[in-house]
Amino acid sequence: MRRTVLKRRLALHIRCSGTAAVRIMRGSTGKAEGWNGSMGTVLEDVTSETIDVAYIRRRVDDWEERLGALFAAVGGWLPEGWEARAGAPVVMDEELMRKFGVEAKRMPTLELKDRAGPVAKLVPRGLWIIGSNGRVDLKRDGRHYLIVDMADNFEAPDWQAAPAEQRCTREAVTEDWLRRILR
Amino acid sequence: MAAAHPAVSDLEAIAALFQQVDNSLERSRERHDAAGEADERDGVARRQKLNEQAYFVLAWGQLEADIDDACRDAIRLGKSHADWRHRRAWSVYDEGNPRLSFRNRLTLVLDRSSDEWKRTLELYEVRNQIAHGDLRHAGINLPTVIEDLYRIQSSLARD
Repeated sequence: MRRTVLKRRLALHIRCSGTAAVRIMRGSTGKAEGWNGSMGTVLEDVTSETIDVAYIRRRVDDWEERLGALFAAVGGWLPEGWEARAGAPVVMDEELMRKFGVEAKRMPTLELKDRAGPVAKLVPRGLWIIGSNGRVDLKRDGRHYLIVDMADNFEAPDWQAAPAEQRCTREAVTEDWLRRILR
Repeated sequence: MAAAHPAVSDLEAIAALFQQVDNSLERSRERHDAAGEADERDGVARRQKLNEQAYFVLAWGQLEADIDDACRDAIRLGKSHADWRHRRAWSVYDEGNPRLSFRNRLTLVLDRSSDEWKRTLELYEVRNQIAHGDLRHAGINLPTVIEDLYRIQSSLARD
């Protein structure tokens, strides 16, 4: 089972502006961070000519595992009076899976409800998304948050979230973040 | 290192416009989903993907223009060096018309062994596949890709 610890970045808030990008690149030590590349990225997946069926299956299984760990963490962070329950699964059948003949797979979703009933839903949106290692959408009362894993392939997840209206402002997915958006 | 090229500063405007359009499409997708209209929902999802690709190519163009500028600056500077032994290799190039492949232009302004060089060529490959009508296997998270473009832009050597 993948460890459920979620990486927390030193800089909690990340914005896609020029100066912020340089800060992210240099990091607190001044040494370049990210793109270390040993485990690969979605960008490498979609430009590679060497991936095969076994690799695609492994990526799909890993995605399912990461979703399970994320949903377990979210369930454990809920405020008093809230509960999490499995929602209707969604079918994952991405183009790379079809290209390599990998069968579609049902992926979990998560519903969060308070005493009044279901109020938030987390749904996996896709694994192969250039610029992230998978995306989960959280919707609540007309509000929409994009949760993306910023870690390299097969590394411990680095879940970060941004409101759909301010996608350049991401922050780490934490108990504090979840409780703020459920208020 | 020179200040950011004006074109690259347009990236934030591109990111903002993309977000506006995608949110509008997302609301439409959600309406169809709630109404149980799966075909219509999937049609909107395809338009969202196409929209991501269109904005990706637009954002890429800002970086490519900046790489070309940095390349011209590097050639001009190299050709003006007082020492012929330094100048002679640069004299082969015409900064007004470098006639170099993108890969070689990039190599003049970014260390070939760097992560940024590798990442840039991967993004260039995606750009080519989109531009040549080969719809990608993947979605694109434009805000984080734009962060990549900024990182690359800030790494370009101009001297």
